[in-house]
Amino acid sequence: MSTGKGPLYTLSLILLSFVAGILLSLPNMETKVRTMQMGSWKNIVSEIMAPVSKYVSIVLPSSVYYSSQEIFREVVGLKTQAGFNKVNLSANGSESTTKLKNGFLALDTLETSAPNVLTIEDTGNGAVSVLLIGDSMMGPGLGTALEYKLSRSGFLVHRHSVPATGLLRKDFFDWFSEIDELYTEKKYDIVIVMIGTNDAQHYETPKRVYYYGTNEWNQLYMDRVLGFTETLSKNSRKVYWIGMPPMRNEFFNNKMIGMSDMFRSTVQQFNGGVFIPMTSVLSERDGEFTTFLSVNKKLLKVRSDDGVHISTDGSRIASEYLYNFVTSDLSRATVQVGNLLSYL
Amino acid sequence: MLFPTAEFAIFFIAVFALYWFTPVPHTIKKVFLILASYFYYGYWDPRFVLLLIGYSAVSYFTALYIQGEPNALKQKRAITYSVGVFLLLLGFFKYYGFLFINFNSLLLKAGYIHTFPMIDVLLPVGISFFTFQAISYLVDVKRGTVQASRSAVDVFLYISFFPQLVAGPIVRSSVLLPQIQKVPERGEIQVYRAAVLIMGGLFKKMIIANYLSTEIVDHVFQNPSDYSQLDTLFAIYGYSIQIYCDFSAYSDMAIGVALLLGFKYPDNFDQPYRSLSLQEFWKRWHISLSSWLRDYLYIPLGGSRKGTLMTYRNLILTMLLGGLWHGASWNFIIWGALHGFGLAVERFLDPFIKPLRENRFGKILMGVIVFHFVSLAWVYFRASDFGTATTILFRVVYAQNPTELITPFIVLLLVVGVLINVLPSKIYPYIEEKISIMPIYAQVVLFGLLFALLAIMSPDGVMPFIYFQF
Repeated sequence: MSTGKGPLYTLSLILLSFVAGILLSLPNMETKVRTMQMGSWKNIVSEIMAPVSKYVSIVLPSSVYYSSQEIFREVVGLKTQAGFNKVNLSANGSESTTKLKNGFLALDTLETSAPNVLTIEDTGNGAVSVLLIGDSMMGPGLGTALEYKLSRSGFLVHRHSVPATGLLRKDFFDWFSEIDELYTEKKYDIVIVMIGTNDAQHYETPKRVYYYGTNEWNQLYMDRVLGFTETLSKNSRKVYWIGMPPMRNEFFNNKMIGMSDMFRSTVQQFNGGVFIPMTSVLSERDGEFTTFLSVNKKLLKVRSDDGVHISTDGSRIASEYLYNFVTSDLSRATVQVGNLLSYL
Repeated sequence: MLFPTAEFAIFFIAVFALYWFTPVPHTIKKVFLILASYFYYGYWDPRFVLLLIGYSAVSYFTALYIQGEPNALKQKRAITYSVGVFLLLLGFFKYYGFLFINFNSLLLKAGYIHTFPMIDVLLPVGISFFTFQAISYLVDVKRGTVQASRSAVDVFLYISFFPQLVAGPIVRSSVLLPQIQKVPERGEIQVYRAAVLIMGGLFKKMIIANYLSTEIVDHVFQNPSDYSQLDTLFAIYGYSIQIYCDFSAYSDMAIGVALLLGFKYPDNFDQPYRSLSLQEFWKRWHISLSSWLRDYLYIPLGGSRKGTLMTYRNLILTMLLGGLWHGASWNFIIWGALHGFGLAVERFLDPFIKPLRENRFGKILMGVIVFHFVSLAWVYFRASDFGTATTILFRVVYAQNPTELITPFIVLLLVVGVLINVLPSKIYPYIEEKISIMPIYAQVVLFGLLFALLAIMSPDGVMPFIYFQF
């Protein structure tokens, strides 16, 4: 039996199936488009599809899709994406203690050294909740490593990373409404942010163009960071903003240094706002980019091939550093006030 | 541009329409396919398109020279130079980092603080695959099994045709060149076979491989000392199923995509985990690589023609180099060595094992042993270093942590993964036939539903295929 078909039949079948598939998963498109792994100039597809998906998600409420996805996740028992990685601190006690393991790297950038024990008093709902947000830098790699580290230590962690996004291009992806939505769903005691790699670009509105590096651009971006941090600090007691690690491309690196400075000065204005520098943890010398780092006389590849992202080994080191930074900062609060939650 | 993305779908639909419907001579269409392949490849890094052009040009001219040169010695010299250049380039891109790391680590251990500066060498995606395609073409021309092509367009397309470009299968010139030369018949697109391959591939990759990886395998391999014996054991099984579903999915999709453009590739996987011996495993796993290694390495080394001891040596050497082909790391070398020694031992024990395979119980026993041996070797393939692999294997025997990763879903994924390997293979033509007799609107609804179901069930974002790194 011959099952061969002509090209016209084949093309029709492909196109119709494709369209049928999109129609059947309409409410999903918005999410899918946003989370596609794309580089900066490759955003054309999502630029075209974003308004379409926005329109169709009005036609067919996204709750239909989300509920079907929720049902699937519920049935198969998946927790990591939709829900929270809840780790019980103790079986039945109201108070529990999480021990800090010895840091993988010395915390040379911290003012005080990390204490051995961080006391967390249980409020009855499980543990201290942490929200991790950001672009692909908070995605698989560093994001997942940090999520793992924190949740294994008893924090309730929810990670929400959207690749190829930033605070600048609200027309493409609006982090401000995204964060409102996240806080409507749940309150978080602590929020950890890493964002900005996709923001070093011009910004065009129907009225004018903000050229990167100009005073207007700086003012605009500073306002964005300010507004974003304000929302975060209103809703969470602690806001940790992670700075950029050194980048391979010198031009890009200089941009990132400038933006990190902006993050630092903004975040520190807020009560509970802490900036975490990342310039030394994956470097031989502070601020210098390196792909390979020698740790305990062993060379490890710490950066991805693109010279921007962090490799698996690098993520392990950086997450250890971030974890130690955050917990030691929290425990300093513990020492001051007695326990973490009364501080919070 | 990964296969399961909207970007690829748009790219492919455009290529498909232009290829089939533009009323231009066949040669122009082939040039168009070359350009489309360069665009596809350049999407990762445009600089490496030059590499493809270089490989194609060297292959084209060397093959013509070999064919026109009656002197065997000169033929040999030409092929040695060209293959040497290919291997040097492959070696530079793949092994520079490894040699650098080991050498500098030695310096650090010896107490030197100053080490050699690192040049950041980016690995061009797919270089291992197109290097092997190019070598097979030259060697086949030299052996006289393939005629050197007079058309540069044909050779350039053979080296860079996008479906198999970045992660195989390694398609021989004897298979692909004749298909490139002839004008495809417009009414002969095997659309249902392609649909089953592509949909099945998407399911294997986006559901089975993705969830096994994120829900159990990655946890255990990243933090081996945190999990129980059972978690660890299931993570090992999980990786065996994951790597099969990941890699065979890519091959299936590549074969399906090529079919839609009228090109027929041989199968690259044939239910490998139903093998009753390691030898059989290698006839079913990554067939295009294992047959390449057999024809261009094992047999030239002497194969099994030079006595028992030499056969063992050749098996071990071939598998060691096969391991090294995957990348410069001690893990791959150990993985290759395990398979090499495994094959040698199996050959040695053959008189004792043979009767076992003749009864039902013996067959099941052999199937289980082979699967476990292959899984054990995969631990070295997956683990980040030798120590992690050993820890994982040790923890299957002794670990005190409570079991926390095994859920009914994980077990279901593993069962489906095993079923794909043991169900009768004639099920696929059966499905194809059933779909082909449906009216077109029913087919559209069916594919649309499958598409939507995949969208709902798959995690957000697409993880890169494991074999992209090779």
